[in-house]
Amino acid sequence: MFYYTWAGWLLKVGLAALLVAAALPKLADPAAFTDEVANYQIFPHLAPWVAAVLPGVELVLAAALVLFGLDSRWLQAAGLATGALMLMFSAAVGAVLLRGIDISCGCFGADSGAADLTVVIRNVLLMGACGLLVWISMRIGGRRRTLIAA
Amino acid sequence: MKRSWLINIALRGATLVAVGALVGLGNHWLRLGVPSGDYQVATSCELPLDAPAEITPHQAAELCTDPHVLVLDVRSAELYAAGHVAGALHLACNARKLDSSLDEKLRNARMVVVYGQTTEEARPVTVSLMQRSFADVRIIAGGYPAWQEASLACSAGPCETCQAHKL
Repeated sequence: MFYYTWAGWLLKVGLAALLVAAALPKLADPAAFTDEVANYQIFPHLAPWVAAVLPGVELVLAAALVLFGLDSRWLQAAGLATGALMLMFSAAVGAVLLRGIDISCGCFGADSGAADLTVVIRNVLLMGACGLLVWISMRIGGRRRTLIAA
Repeated sequence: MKRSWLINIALRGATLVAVGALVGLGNHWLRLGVPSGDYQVATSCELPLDAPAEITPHQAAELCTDPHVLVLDVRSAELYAAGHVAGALHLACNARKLDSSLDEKLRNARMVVVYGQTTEEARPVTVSLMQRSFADVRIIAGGYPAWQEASLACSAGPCETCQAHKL
């Protein structure tokens, strides 16, 4: 259980730090991020709304990952939502790659590297990290509930 | 994996996302207003058909009296320091990021008048401003030399905003 706890905290803090690092540049220059979102050419007219909502979602998920305990169902929910967010990002980058559009990924605001296969692989690995965090949280939460019941 | 657990977690996840969306929209509303519904999608890398209108230095001087008009100098910091249009802010054409205070001034301005050392030097900046929805953008035809020739008001001194722009 000791290793689960350490791994859980490492994943919690690591994923939260990544989400904060992704959100802050988007908040600093919303106009540039709106252009980055529009460049994906997936409902481009909604780009200002997506650009407004996304940093807020990333910050709230980061806060939830840090604040909720390892045995909390809210932490599992935050992990699941973060994984879903990564899946959505991967799908968007995948759609860009399939259409042969050469753009910046906008993952960490403007000028954050090309939207290429590396971004998809990174997001898939992050989805794995989210899944692992949820699994660890379930193990710890399940064990605690069993102990309380006993 | 129990179905009830999945529904429980999915509902909590959706709640977190909804709170995040409200935080994001609230932040946007407080800083910049409601997200624009008339976002202009760039369809080409060529200059847009409605390229910024050129105005003469005298027309620009008349506009400068309006407090809602922002004048931008896109020449080098050295040329700006040597002399610039009175009240103009400096924004070098190689600036990668806007200082947040300048970004706010740009958003609040009803019109942005841009000039360079030549008309062509100012054009890339005006196109970039137009793509960022700063709709009413004008270029001073002939740039700063034309302004000087017309004997209009000039100022000199170092660029106060250069540090913030990491130039």
